[in-house]
Amino acid sequence: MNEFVETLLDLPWQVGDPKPAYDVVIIGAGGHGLSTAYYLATRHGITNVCVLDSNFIGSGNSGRNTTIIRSNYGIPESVAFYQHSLEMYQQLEAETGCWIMHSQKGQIWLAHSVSTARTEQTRALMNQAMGAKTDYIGPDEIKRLCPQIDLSGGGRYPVHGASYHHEGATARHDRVVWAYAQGALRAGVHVYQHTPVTGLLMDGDRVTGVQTPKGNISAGTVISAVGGNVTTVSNWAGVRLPIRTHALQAFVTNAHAQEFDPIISSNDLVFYVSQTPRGQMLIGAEYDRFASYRQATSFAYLQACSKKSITMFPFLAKLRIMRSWTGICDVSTDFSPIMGETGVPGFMISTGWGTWGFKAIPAGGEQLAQLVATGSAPLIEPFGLDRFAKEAAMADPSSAGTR
Amino acid sequence: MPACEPPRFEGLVGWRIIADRSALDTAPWPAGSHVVRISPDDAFVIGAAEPGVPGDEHAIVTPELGFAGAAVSAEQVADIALHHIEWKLPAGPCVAQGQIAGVPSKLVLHADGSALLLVACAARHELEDRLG
Amino acid sequence: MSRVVYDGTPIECEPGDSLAIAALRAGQHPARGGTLCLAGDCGNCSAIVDGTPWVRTCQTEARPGAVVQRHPNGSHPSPGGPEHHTQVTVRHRSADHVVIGNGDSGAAAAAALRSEGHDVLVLDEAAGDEVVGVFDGPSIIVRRNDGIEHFHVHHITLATGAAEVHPVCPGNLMAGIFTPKAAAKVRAAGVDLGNVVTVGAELKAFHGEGRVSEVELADGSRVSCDNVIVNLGSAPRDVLARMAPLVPVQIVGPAAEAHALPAAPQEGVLCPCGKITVEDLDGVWNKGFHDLELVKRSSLCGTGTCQGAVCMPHLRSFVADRSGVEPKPFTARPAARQVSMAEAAAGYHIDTFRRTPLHGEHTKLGATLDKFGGWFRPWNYGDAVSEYWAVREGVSLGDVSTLGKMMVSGPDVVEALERLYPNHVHDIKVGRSRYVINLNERGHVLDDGMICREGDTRFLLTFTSGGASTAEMWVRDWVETWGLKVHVLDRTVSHGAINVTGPLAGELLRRAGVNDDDRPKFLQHRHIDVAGIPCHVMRLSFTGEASFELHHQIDQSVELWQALMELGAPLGIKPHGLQALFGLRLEKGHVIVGQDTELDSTPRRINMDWAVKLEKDAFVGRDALIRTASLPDERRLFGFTMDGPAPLEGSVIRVNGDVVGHVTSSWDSPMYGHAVLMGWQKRLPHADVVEIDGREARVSAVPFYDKEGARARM
Repeated sequence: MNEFVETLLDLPWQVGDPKPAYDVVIIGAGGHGLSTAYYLATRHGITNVCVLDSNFIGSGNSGRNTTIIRSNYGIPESVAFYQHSLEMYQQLEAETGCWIMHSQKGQIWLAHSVSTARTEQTRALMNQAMGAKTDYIGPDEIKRLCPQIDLSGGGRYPVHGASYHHEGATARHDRVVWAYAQGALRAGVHVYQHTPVTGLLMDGDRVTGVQTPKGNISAGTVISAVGGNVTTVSNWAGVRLPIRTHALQAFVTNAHAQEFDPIISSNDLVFYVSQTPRGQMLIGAEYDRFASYRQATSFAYLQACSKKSITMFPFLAKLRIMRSWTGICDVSTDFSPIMGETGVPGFMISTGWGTWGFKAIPAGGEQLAQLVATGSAPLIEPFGLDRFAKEAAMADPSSAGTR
Repeated sequence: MPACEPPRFEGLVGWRIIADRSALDTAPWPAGSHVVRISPDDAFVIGAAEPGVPGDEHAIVTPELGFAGAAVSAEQVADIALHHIEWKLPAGPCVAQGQIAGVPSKLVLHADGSALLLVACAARHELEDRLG
Repeated sequence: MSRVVYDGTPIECEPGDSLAIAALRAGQHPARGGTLCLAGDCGNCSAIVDGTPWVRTCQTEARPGAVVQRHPNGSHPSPGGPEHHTQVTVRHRSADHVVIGNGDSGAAAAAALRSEGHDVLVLDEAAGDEVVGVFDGPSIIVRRNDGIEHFHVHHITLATGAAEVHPVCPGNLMAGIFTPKAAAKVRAAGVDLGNVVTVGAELKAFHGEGRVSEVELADGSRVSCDNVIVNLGSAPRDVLARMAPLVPVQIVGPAAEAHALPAAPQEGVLCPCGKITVEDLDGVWNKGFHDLELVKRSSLCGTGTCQGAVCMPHLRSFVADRSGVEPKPFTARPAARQVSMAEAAAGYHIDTFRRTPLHGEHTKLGATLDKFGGWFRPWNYGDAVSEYWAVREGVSLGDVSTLGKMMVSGPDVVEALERLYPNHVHDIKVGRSRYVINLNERGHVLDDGMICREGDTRFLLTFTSGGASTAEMWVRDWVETWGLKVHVLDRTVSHGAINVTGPLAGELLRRAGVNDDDRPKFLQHRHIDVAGIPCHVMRLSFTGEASFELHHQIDQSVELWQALMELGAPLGIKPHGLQALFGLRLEKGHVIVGQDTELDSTPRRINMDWAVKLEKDAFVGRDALIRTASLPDERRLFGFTMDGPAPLEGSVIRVNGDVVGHVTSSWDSPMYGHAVLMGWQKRLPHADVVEIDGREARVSAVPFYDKEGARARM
């Protein structure tokens, strides 16, 4: 057996169909749904939990992202939350016993103009103040960290500087999902694949369970950890979300020898490049401007993204594109996640993960579980849905466009 | 790469008129002028004294020096379309607008396939570089 | 005969040879082993060709002098170092009917379409057309050796045939194994395969040292050979159809036919790209990974360079065998045939940088130009502090041609502007101007600018350079939504603007032929000639000094600039860049939308309630402002002063050690000898003394400079 297969842990599936009732039913067996279940069971002893998915585990955005872990956000509340998540990721292999291929690479966020240099400098200063290790660095240091870069940006995009996020990392997305799935299953949580939720059970204005082709399931609390179609699910409960869904595409080249160390993003050009542990160059950019639920790839995207990448990294020009994919991202109006109570009793959400959901899987699940179990989760309190009505948005557009 | 001569641009002198569609449809354009209807309410009149638009007292009539233009032959149009236009070129006579080599541009297409290529002076250097 | 160099050794090749055929002609495997399909489907013939890794040698012509290296044994090829790439030609074409594939079914489909009078384009891989993907549109991207082609099409017929099934058994990564069609191609090229054994489902294993010398059959017998042809049937080559499920395509021929899956694999490498074995699949199956997608993702089978072309039939057969249900193929994604990133990028331009008509003047003056909002603008001319003093004490020119400039006219124009802006508009007199902000529906500040009244039903609006690009859309969207009759002309790029600013600005205008009586007073505007050039002169002030914005036709910008520089020389005139301007305006407490403001800044948060007249019936954002007015609001933009040096912009602001916000603008004021700043406090109570950069800073009323605004009125 190869190492990749040998190191997988068993998925100890439950036997039989879902029970008629659980304490907590979670819609969506992606990273967030499964980590919430895992922490409910392992941190709070709440094991009478069921996670349902319309497809296989990790079939949504958890398996369609670019696997970047970072905490270099622009507002204090976000830095604190994502830094906590980043540190949980560093411990996840030790905690779960699963090899998630965590690899600390450092992330360089390039600035090509005076205005974006100010943004990156602001990012570094805010990160430092909130405990994330980010420095503003100049072109020489960038070149040292990444010799393949063309600092002139093809003559059009000269590099002014960058913020350097020392603890930026990647991990294998699927293996993160499986780490939480096996941990949750082992703790007694039920996880049902190919079991779509088709509606919510309501008692007055209270959500009391879910409808599925396998029958109705009642629940003390229903949590939507849905990606891509969250507005449909929340509409069933009468909850309107300030969310639009957009497609985000990315692609990989064939595999090559490991020669590209950091994760590199560009503020002006809006793209990012890293090399996967399997050797592929992984390249992504911003989400499509128009709203869509389609997971289709467009050539225009490959075209733009390729051009941006080879402008900064000429060696990429000859590398061949192997596969592209698309995730559909729920983007909130302030580019921050929405977690917790919805105002509808019995119904909580974890959404607004836009293009930044993967890095938040540990902390998002941990905090939501804590909120369910104890009624309080300070780290995610600023990210409640009620912030929009309270005119207390967590606006952080400069951290959000990609990734 | 280009089989043809690149287009030669020069700054254009004309008038820009924003007015009701019906007023523009019936305006008595000065003799010798070349009228480019950019949109139903928008005309660019090249090579004329100040035009009047009797049908609309609120019309905006103002000198327009923001465009550079190049007369391009049918062969040049075909070559530019082949290499630099992602969208499908309509048949002339008509005004087509869109990105050419990534630069927002207008093509005033004539029936014989030749055209007047228009670009904002501020972006002229980019289009020249890319078509050159 | 010509030659190519294969792993350092020249080999002979015949005209028309692919690199793979040339290698086989020389008695070598084109890569390191594995079954050859020679149809572009698998990755078993991939090598580094002229420095490019992962090239299918079977699809690549053996050009004389080509240099081929095999990928390193047991590891991946190097991506290569920094180097510059050549341009790839792109062609945009249209076609009505496209048939992909020129085999029997493709040729028949094309003939049938032609007989119905259609114009048909046939894309033939044998002729070098590699179809990268079918996309929405519909569009088809084709890679050719001489460039990349983008087709707009109407009707697509897929006649891509079937791909032959590779053997899965011990020894299947050795050299000397061919599919029947591959063997036919090799023989057609005149290559002698020697002693060939043809086997089918009775195949059990291959034996040999690096290349096959014996084939073992199910009955245990062994047959010696030089090469083996393995006939295991085929599977539809339908990847293009599965890639674009919503693009209507017609599939014909073997690509559309049902094919039986091969027998469930027992032993050997299933996925030659990743060297993944049947044992690996059993491993993941036994660990509970049962969905086809989960088997794929957990074993990585099907995720290599051939994207499942080789392993998919076996993988499906494996899952069918273990689960009892035959799974559908997994999703196909571009690229069906690989393109390099240079090929993908061909024809794309990231953005267009605009130049003001004074670009050449700035360059001559030695300006450092940088990109702001899509324009090249002068950051400084070498010394921002001396530029600052020229504004404060003498006279200076600034190129503000990038300002958004819009003419609006029509019977409903006053009504439209009253609804668009939170300020009053109807009482602006002809010849007068007013500073305005504009809001979105959420009551958040979008932009700011001026309204200048030209006549009863005619106004000139200005927007910031950054806001100009969306201003016309914003105005038109609302005007059309409301059904008001207003003509709109965005003349941002057809008019230049030069800001003449400083206490000697009036004197310079005098020398440029403008009588004191003729020049507009503060917040007035007037059409006058300056240095003989017709200008629309607007009095307002961003710098804090007397300022005259000279708007003019762009063909006269250079003449006007040069005349003013010459006339101003005795006054010590200097142009100023954005660096000095940002400091000058900061001393006056003027915000820069997008730098000092945030996505959700209401007028209250940036202390601009004075620019909002809630008593008006309606304007964009009014409802939101009324709703949020009663909410407690912690967030507020403040002015601060502190000892120099000025902290970095972006420094955090602390109160009692807690981060409460950050500095948005910071400047060592040459005038005051200390730093002036703007920044956010987002916690109540707002403090009068805060900590920035480890030092004490005090909240200060803004403007810092000329609180009465007397200098702007000079």
